[in-house]
Amino acid sequence: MKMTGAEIFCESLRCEGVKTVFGLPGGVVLKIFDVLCQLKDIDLVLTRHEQGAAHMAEGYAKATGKAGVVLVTSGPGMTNIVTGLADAYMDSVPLVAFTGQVSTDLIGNDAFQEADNVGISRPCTKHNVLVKDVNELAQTIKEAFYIATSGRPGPVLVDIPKDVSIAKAEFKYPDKVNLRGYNPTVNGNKNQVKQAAEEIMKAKKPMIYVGGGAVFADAADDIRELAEITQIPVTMTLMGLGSFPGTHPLSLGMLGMHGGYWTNMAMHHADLLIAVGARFDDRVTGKLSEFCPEARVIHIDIDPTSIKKTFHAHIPIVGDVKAVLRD
Amino acid sequence: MDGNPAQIKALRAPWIKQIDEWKKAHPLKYKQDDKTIKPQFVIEKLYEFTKHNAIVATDVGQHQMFAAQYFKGSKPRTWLTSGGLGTMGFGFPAAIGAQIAFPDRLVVCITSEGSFQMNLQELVVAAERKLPVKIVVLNNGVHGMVRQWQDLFYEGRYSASILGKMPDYVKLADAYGIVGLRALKPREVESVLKQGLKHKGPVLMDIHTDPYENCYPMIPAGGAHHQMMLEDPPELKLSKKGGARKRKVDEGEGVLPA
Repeated sequence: MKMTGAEIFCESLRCEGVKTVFGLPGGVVLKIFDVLCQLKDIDLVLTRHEQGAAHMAEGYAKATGKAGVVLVTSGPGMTNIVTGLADAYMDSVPLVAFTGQVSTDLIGNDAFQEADNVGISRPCTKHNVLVKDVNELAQTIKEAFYIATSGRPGPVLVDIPKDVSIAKAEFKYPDKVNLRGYNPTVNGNKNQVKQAAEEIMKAKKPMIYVGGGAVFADAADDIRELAEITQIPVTMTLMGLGSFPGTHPLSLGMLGMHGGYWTNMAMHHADLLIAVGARFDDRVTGKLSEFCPEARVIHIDIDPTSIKKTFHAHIPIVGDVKAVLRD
Repeated sequence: MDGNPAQIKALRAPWIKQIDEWKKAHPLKYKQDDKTIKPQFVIEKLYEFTKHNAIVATDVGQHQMFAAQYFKGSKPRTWLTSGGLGTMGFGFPAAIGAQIAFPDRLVVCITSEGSFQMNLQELVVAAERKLPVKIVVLNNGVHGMVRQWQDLFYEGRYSASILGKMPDYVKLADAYGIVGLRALKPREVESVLKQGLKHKGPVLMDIHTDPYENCYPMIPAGGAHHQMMLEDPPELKLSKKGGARKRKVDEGEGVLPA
């Protein structure tokens, strides 16, 4: 049986297990909202500003670990979520934002409430796509959720023109994705892990420096185990807080610009730094040329572009921090 | 990983002892008198009353840093904050999102009047869904972190950092049909927090804090980890309160009678 794009959209959300959508309606997404309001199992949260929807979806995603879902209209609806997208991109929050777009035959005409959603969001999304054919809608949504939640998580934007939401196609939700050129590395290189273990056993003044990546990887237990077995103090970035109990005797709290005196002094004098899902942000490192001047650096991160981006790493390990720590 | 636990402990002991000495030499500190509420005091009390049960969402600025310092979270996914982008206005909607995901959990939004005003239109979502979000506004009438930098690096010229005491948050809460509470003096803090946390619906707690409290330790931009400021520099202390040429916060735009 053929379904409209709006119905395909809603069924796809169901297949992804989406329970909550944060959004605000408008002209080009009326068809989608019309179908959505008839569903009993998806809660539509009507916000009073699209930015609110984006941050609510972020809060939802951070608290649950699942992708937060946003649905807004074209033009101002989309531009109002840009701050939320940029925020989610910086902090690696899994978000899938659906934006309405004017009908495909009007794109580029300065139509009412038209904006170049894909162009505007390109530098602040992990991936974005304009759906031009209703036959590709389900596949695109499947890929959007996969990309948002896998590897280093982040926001994905799917732009749906009005005519695509009305057009009909056969619905079949794909059960897997196969994306050429996107295959996050999960397991760390065994040799590198072995080298890291040797360094850890030798070090006299080691520090574990944990970032938000550890939260997304659900690696809290593994970090605790590592710290307790090796008796290494743990400091966390602003994003990493919660990944190691703040009351633990080995916890040094937050580091960086407003970190504890003891924490930053320890960083300055450390001889080994084990960075776990952290990205050496400037608010963390301060003056880079004088950051951890005495330390050998082990950097574990799922995102290879984060490694050696701002600071050198003697032993880089690309992989899921949970999987690597388990090794 | 193998290795003898006793051996490892012995290897690390001097290091852990050294860190402990640093900690004893310069712990986090603030002075709470009986006149002006210190933001750190509110956060410590909030932590004491909620312990490890709360999901905490913060906004961006001084209150966020104080919360990061004093709120010792123990579980992942209970600390929701905007890090990289530093988005003021993030905290309150994020708290709503978390509360919708976990209707039965305690969700606290630690914010300030500067950040909160950037997305307070979403109060209606909390109100109409009766989401029991506890909003704690550390209301100091200034963009605290901007004011701090202006005191430290711009000779106390408060360019565009004074917000005044508008709006009246208790009346605002009332306009949305939710409970609003206010603390003006240190002795009122505990009862307001306790009352607010106990209430079953959404609550907006307006807590008036010291506009001149600065967040330390602080590594000034471009400084290294061992070059921290631990307290107000002498010239700032001498200039009574705030900067040398400071304008009093109460003289700001939109002042309401206390």
